[in-house]
Amino acid sequence: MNSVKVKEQVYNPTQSNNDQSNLAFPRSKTGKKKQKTLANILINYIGPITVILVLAIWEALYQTGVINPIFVSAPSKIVTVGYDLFQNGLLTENLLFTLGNFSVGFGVAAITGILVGLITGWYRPIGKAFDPFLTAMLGTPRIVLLPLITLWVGVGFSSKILIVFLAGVFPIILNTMTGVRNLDPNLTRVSKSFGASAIQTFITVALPGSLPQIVSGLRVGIGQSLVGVIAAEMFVSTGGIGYFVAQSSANFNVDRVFVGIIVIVIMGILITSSVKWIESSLMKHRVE
Amino acid sequence: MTAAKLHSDNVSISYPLKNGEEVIAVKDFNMTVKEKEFVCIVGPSGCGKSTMLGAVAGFQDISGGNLHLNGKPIKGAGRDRGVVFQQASLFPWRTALNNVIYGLELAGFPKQDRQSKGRELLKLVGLEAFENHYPNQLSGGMQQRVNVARALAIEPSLMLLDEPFGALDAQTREFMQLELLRIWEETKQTIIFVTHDIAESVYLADKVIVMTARPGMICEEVKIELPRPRPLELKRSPEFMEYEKYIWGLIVKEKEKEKQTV
Ligand SMILES: Nc1ncnc2c1ncn2[C@@H]1O[C@H](COP(=O)(O)OP(=O)(O)OP(=O)(O)O)[C@@H](O)[C@H]1O
Ligand SMILES: [Mg+2]
Repeated sequence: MNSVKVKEQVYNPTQSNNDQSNLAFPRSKTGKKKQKTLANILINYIGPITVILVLAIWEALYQTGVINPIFVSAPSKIVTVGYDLFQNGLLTENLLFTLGNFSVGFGVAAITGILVGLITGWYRPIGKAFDPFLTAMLGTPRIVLLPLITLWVGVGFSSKILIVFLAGVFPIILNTMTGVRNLDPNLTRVSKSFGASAIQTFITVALPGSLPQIVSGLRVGIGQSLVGVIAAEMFVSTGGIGYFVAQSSANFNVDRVFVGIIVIVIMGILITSSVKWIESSLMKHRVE
Repeated sequence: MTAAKLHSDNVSISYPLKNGEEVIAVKDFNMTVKEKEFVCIVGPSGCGKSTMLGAVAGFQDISGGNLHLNGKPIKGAGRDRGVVFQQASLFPWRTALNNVIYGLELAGFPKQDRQSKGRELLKLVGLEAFENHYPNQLSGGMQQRVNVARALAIEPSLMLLDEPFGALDAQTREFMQLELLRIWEETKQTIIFVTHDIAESVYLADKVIVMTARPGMICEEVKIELPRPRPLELKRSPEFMEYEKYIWGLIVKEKEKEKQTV
């Protein structure tokens, strides 16, 4: 089978282009094979390689005493301290506390945001009435509301949930509303032509039609809610990973500060990538 | 008025403008469409074809005259009329099959029934192998076939098509015309088909209604007495070209009249 193919290629003048490219590739490969592959590896893994390099330099600077251990930790320290904290349950405890606040606040924000966004987008007058508040809230870092919230509801569980909620809900409202407003009027007309009631048009056109914007609203909202939960914990909490970082910093325990930050970074990455996964599974028709 | 499916009696349609005035898009439109008849409306761009079709579909209120479907005045859209729009209007988030069964879903048919009905219709338009494809995975011609199938699914007593093949290349277009005639003969629908392609209207219709530019009025009704079934070669026959020339002449004459009045 293979040999036949080769023959065809040789004798068929229309495939001469293919032949050239096929020949050119192995020739250069045999010439400087080792350098080529090494360069390829470097390019393919440039991200991880850089990370390892930075970590190595960082560790070296720490070990040689160039950087002050009072202010900056080192990779090896972060690993050992992190492991200990994980072992004695302190890290898990704080992490669960944060995740609890976050999920309740963001869950409520997602449901409220989508509902309010759909309604304000669908009924223009309501949307118009809502616009000034939305603009004001989106232009402001919601964390400025923290003092007011603690005044109202104290420093407990509910204040953090409220700030997570406020941080996340506005981008979700705005995106959902924009999505509904920008629906293709042709599609709305199609559903009417099939005798759809207003509710049916809403469910079969407005909802799926604005799904891409809803999801991008959720993604923005998640980021802001994360900022909200960590900031709230730093200021008004006695638990959570944000509190842990703030406390460790007050105690000059720089290793713990670094561990906390790393945990927050990982948490952010995991949550954000889970949204991406949800996005791609919801919008199969967009792929390809 | 016997056996009239659709009866339009001096229908006028106008659009209100912001400054309080109004544009008369259709004026004194008289038309009768019989059961199982294939009627084409031709006319220059902007003459009010879509507007008139919209009134029959029930999107558009009329400002004068009477418009009756099966003896009753038309009030709003309904499942007794199936509409195929000029633009791509499939739901991008639904597969071909789910697009076709959209109307059945709204009407509350059980899932089993609508799926089998949907497959039947996809087969009718020759797309049974594409039921799980999304619209963006289908060619323009395929999309319009899904569109036709979707309108047929609700078994309307009247099909309304607004330049459904306008965006297709010449070859695909001819093929779609042939397909539409085959489907029409199989399903025994009544069809109103809007186009500005004269050859298309002659090839498809029992009766071609020629409209004048602004305000849209009927200038003539031309009965097409070509035998059916009509193979594509018919388009090269002298009788066919005669019809084509005649309608073309009507439109040119109208254009000249318009120039003189301006
Ligand atoms: N929403 C509207 N508001 C005001 N005027 C309108 C509106 N829609 C259409 N018109 C006017 O009514 C006339 C008829 O429009 P219509 O869309 O029915 O034309 P058409 O024959 O379908 O044209 P085409 O072949 O280009 O689709 C046009 O002159 C147009 O300017
Ligand atoms: Mg039109």
